[in-house]
Amino acid sequence: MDHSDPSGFDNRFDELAILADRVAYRILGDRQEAEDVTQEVLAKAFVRWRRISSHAEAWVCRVAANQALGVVRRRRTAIRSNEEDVGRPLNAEGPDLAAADRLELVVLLGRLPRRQREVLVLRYLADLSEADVADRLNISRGAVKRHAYRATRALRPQVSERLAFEGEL
Amino acid sequence: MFEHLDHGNEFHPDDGLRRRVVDRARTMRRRRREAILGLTAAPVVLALALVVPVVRDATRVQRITVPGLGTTPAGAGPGSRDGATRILLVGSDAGLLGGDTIGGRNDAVVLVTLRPGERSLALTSIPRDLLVGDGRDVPVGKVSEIGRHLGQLVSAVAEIGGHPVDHVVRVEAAAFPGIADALGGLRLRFDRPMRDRASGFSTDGGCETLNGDRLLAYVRSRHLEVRDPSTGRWVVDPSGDFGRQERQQEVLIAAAQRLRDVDVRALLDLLADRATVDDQLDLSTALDLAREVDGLRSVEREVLQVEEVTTPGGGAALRLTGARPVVQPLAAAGAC
Repeated sequence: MDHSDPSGFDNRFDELAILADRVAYRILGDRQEAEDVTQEVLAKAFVRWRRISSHAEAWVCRVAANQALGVVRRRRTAIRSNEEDVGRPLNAEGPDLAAADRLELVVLLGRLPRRQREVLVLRYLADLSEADVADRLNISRGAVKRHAYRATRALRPQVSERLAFEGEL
Repeated sequence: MFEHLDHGNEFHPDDGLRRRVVDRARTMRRRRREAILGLTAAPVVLALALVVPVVRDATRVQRITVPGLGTTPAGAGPGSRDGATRILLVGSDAGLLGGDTIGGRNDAVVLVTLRPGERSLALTSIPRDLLVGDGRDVPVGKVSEIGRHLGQLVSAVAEIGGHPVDHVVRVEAAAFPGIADALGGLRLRFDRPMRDRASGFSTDGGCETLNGDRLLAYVRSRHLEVRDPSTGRWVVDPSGDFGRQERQQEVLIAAAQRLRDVDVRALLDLLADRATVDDQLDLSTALDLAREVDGLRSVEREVLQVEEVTTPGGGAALRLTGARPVVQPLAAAGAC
């Protein structure tokens, strides 16, 4: 990679891979699928590096989320086409709570306005700080808080309550 | 907030992942290059559609029987046969395998509609990622994929437009660079300075003749910038993919206008074994069409209304929204 990497992709590979994987895994809950998504996202980033290097973190997180949601949609199509699998939880590996929250998350991401979705992905799936999210999206910290609040209030009440109890909201 | 969703996740980027990423990126770049070549091939296909049959006996251009040509699509109304002649131009990325089955993908597909009497021409770019097919006669798939069978591609395009397709011409991308130079370059008008640092294209504006390399850089441009005349600053061209389609169609028209001036035999030598036409495009038909192109009064583009979808395989694709195509003037013939 180094011989064709004039602009620092190699130096940032680990950092970006971890971000992409975190976002993908939190949506998918499947190690192999998350790694497949990470590989695809990093390859796309490499191809477009000159154009995206200035905002690589935000780009990688956004594309990872979109790619992972695509995998979820593909799963659902497969489930619908095979009646025996109907009812299989989206996350067959993790605990029920995680599976339910993932389902919640996927539904939420699918219906949020663009900016709220970007903030949700960067702030809560990639775990960037408010200041970092504000910097990556070129908006104020107040705007980050506002978008995050609006995005997460659409969560199921029981999830919201639990998150509030944990001091997240 | 969602840390509990990390349960069971242990991820550490390793050299194996790096290698896979690089391999995948190489594949993406190769496919992009192939697509660019295919797209760039489209502009010259119109010219070839009209001259290839004239001297077909002296060339190795392949003529094949393509099912579905001239067939009114199912469900089309009485106006489907409107007297226009429709030619499907296809830029391919692979060699010929024989019959109507052709290897590789269709990276550029443009439907040309010639309207006799009106001396008008309309170009409709069919996006390569558009999902077509009814699942019966034509399997559901992207235009780039189902087009391996020209008959299926013809049926799919007829279905999209609601009109029968009369002829089809297909040219391999590998023939393009030489063809572009054989045309002596193309003269185009640029209304302001433009550049694309990725493809290497730049112009100070005005009328310019582009040779093969610059033409390639112009048509392949995906990150075009234009200079704002009031501030002198470079700004990203907001037209995006639609702008790219329009530029390709503009080049197509310019290529057709060079018909009168080119050495047809030299052009056809470059096409040996790299072009296919349907066997219904005979000499008299070709001459009639060439006369119509020569006297064009107006050129329009029809923009299909599409939306993004995700395929069952997880890939990105497009589908028609059901809205009518938007018709826009493309360029006045001889504008530069």
